[in-house]
Amino acid sequence: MKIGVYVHIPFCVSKCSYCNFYSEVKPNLINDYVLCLVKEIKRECDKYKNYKVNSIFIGGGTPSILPSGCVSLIINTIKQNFCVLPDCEITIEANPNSINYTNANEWFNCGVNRVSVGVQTTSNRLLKLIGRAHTFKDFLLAINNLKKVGFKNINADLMIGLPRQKQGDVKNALKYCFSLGLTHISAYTLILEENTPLFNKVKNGELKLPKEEKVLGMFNYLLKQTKLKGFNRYEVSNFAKPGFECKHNENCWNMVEYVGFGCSAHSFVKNFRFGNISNIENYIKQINNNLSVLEFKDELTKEELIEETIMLNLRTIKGINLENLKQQFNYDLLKVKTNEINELLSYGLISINNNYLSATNEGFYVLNQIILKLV
Amino acid sequence: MQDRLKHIRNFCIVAHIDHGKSTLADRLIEYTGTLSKRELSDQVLDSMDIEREHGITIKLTPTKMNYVCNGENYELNLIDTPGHVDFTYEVSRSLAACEGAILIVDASQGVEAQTLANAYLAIDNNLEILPVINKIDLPSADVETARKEIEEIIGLDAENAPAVSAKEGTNIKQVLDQIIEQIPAPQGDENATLRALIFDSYYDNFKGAVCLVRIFDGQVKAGDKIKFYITGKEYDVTEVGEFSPKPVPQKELKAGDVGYICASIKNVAETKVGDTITSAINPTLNPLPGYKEVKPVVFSGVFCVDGADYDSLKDALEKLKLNDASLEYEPEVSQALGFGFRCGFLGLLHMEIIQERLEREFDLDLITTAPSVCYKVHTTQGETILVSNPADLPKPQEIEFMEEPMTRVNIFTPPQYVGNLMELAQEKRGEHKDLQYLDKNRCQLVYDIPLNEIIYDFFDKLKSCSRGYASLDYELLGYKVSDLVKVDILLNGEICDALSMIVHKERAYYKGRSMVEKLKDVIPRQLFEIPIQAAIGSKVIARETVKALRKDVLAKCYGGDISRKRKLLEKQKKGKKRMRKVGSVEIPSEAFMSILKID
Repeated sequence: MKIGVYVHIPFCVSKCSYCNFYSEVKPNLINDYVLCLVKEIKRECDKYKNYKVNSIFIGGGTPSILPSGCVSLIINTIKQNFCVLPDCEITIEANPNSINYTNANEWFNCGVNRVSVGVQTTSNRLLKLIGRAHTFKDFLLAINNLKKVGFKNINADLMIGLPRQKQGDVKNALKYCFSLGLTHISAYTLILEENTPLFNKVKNGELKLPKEEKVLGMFNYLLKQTKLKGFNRYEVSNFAKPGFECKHNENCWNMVEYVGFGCSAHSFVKNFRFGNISNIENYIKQINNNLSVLEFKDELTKEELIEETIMLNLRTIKGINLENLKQQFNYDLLKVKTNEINELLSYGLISINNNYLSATNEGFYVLNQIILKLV
Repeated sequence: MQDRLKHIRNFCIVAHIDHGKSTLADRLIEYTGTLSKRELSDQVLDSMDIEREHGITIKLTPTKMNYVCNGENYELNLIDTPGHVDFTYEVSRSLAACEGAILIVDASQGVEAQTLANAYLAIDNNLEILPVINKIDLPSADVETARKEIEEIIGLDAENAPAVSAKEGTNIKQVLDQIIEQIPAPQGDENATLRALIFDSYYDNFKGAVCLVRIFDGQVKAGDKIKFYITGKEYDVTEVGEFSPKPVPQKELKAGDVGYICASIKNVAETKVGDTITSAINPTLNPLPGYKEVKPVVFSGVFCVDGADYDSLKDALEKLKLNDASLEYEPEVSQALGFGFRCGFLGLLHMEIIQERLEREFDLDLITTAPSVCYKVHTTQGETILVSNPADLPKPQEIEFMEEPMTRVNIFTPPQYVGNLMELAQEKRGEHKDLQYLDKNRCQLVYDIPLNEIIYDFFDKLKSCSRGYASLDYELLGYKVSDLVKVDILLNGEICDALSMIVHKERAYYKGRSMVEKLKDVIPRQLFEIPIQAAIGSKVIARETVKALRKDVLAKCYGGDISRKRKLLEKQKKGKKRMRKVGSVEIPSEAFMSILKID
């Protein structure tokens, strides 16, 4: 059986103004944390003896700020304690300002074969506005270093719908992604999360988000350009050159099991979803006392499994495998939701081909509504 | 006079809301030793939570107290009265059961609209009125001004009115002594045929409907055969008793007494407030005067947010009806809201209380439609029909003319707000009747206003345009011909029956416009464009559009954190459950409520 391994690095140099994910600016805790991570991997690995790892993902936070030696320690620990497939995808998330030749080289040498770079935008004006610590120049240098070291599979995270963002900004960002030969682009539309500095600024009128039509315009532009350059959209927000689709992502949308290590990491194993505590100090204390770091553990009912399958499958371009749903859960979506499906078909938001029900390009924009109708 | 009667005093307390009626009642109960402070869990007479929150008493719970004055033992029966205009008739029957009334005036507020209304009610019932000035503990208390107001505005002698603080228990003895001295003892012949006034009733699971009565003539005991004059029904008495304040069985009740009668009566609806109980064997030919059939004046559709709760709503209404004969309801089916009930209430407060009790005591999640009044519709066929649900209104071409219920509204206000209030009354189609400057701080404004204008937000507006100083009292006047139309709301071309309303023609455009504007804000964007129209018949008078939803998708799945997505999905699913469908349009249940708030 296949499994993905996720490792969470909850440290950042500074917090970006739109982010509400768990990360902290506490460099003095990093070493202890990494040692605990290794302990956690070692003490939990026995449960996963029968699995073969097809993807390792070191995410954050900002894993690229880890001091030298940490990434290799983590990867090697996983390799020593899990059955890692030879073609395993090993990704590290990195920010442009913390990628240099030395750490890139270390990653490459310990087996990392994919780097996901948090570019967001190439406009210095916007980068500053959303509190990113890097500049456009950092981005160019970072990609240069990654390529020099030998990385062939590089992703850029881009954001659409930032305050004051114009189509020209998107155009510029894409131009560099293409010319630098990146193989993967993740394009996320900004979602204002409550209680982030950006949320507050928008709320009190200091900043304005671009209008919906404008955001859609920018995203449509991105759809067109990526297609022209040979990128396939294989999920709502993900675009890849053929063969460069991210396995870590695909695991998640296809309900493949994965295990997460580290503070605030989540897992999905044998119909259980569980997550670790979201506090670095507590995490370290618990691990060092050999105590549990579990924050919650939910067993999904059959109904929930069906709902999640629908919800996650719909994010992919392939969509829901209706036959699979029938066989696995004895659930005939076409029968149960006939009216809703006909309604969505009439709006042109979904299509059904060869036993797959998938969202159309228009449908991807209102995916939440489609999911709501189908669950 | 019989010696027994000389030692009985039957009285009630009347006051404007918040002037301290319940607190004074508590102090009297405490001072006479009827209940100890510990037993008297603050405001013992108000038994329902909601009443406590509204600061008003609705159910009347009489209390018998013993008090020694000048070496003689007296029996005092306090009958509490509801202090709200919705319950005017009930108040009048309670007053009819007494010989005297304590009229409380707040020393810091002075005479208010309901002080006057209640005083007049008491005067109409020939009661001896005992003014009491309360809240002298407040820093803003002005006893002399309050005294002056009582004399000048109501015309009562207030020279000897006790100045008390019910809160702190100051001068309570003075009040009790004056009750003995000034309120007349009851009269009546205990050997005559039985005549007892029902002034309230409640339902007891074991005893059935319990009648709260004042015996005017004769006597009654368990085993007697009794007859209700209005309903003509006969019963066997199973128990009689007094309140102290809990019901305590007695051997008999005699002329002059206040107490209760149980007679295995199945339903409170059979115990009509104001009815006369007499002997079945030797019935009286002279029933006690003042009986009126109580009819609801405000109507509203009550539905469950979750249609599956219909049976629970039905049960809940049945249970409330057991204790509240004035609540009326019948099944209603709305295309938009499904199965529910059309309920009739005595007034706005009554409506609010019932709705709150349904939600709180029975844990129901309700959608209520805009309140409506009962219109008289004269059809071209020459028929007159009563319509309280806009959905039932005949087509315009079948209506000859319509009449609507009118009210006489009395507003008390400091003079500086008269301008605002007149404007408000005009806006609500009020017809100016009178304006009097009662003294330098107080005016009385009298308007005739259609009931359907005051059932929405008149009270809130009155308070806001007078900084809370104006007070209000109203009485029903009868019907008046009026130019009324039905405004329908169409969503994506389909009429949403639950949003229809009957309004005056001149106000139709304005109301229709504010409705569609409000709806535009509360109806979430959906996968298609939704036109919202207000129309009179086939004529569209206002239109707005809810644009189609273009973007609603989650971005990143962080670290495989699906539970976060799940939570969002659950939240959205929950929201969807609260949606109602009209045609293809989904409307949140909140939308039906929020439009109640438009002017």
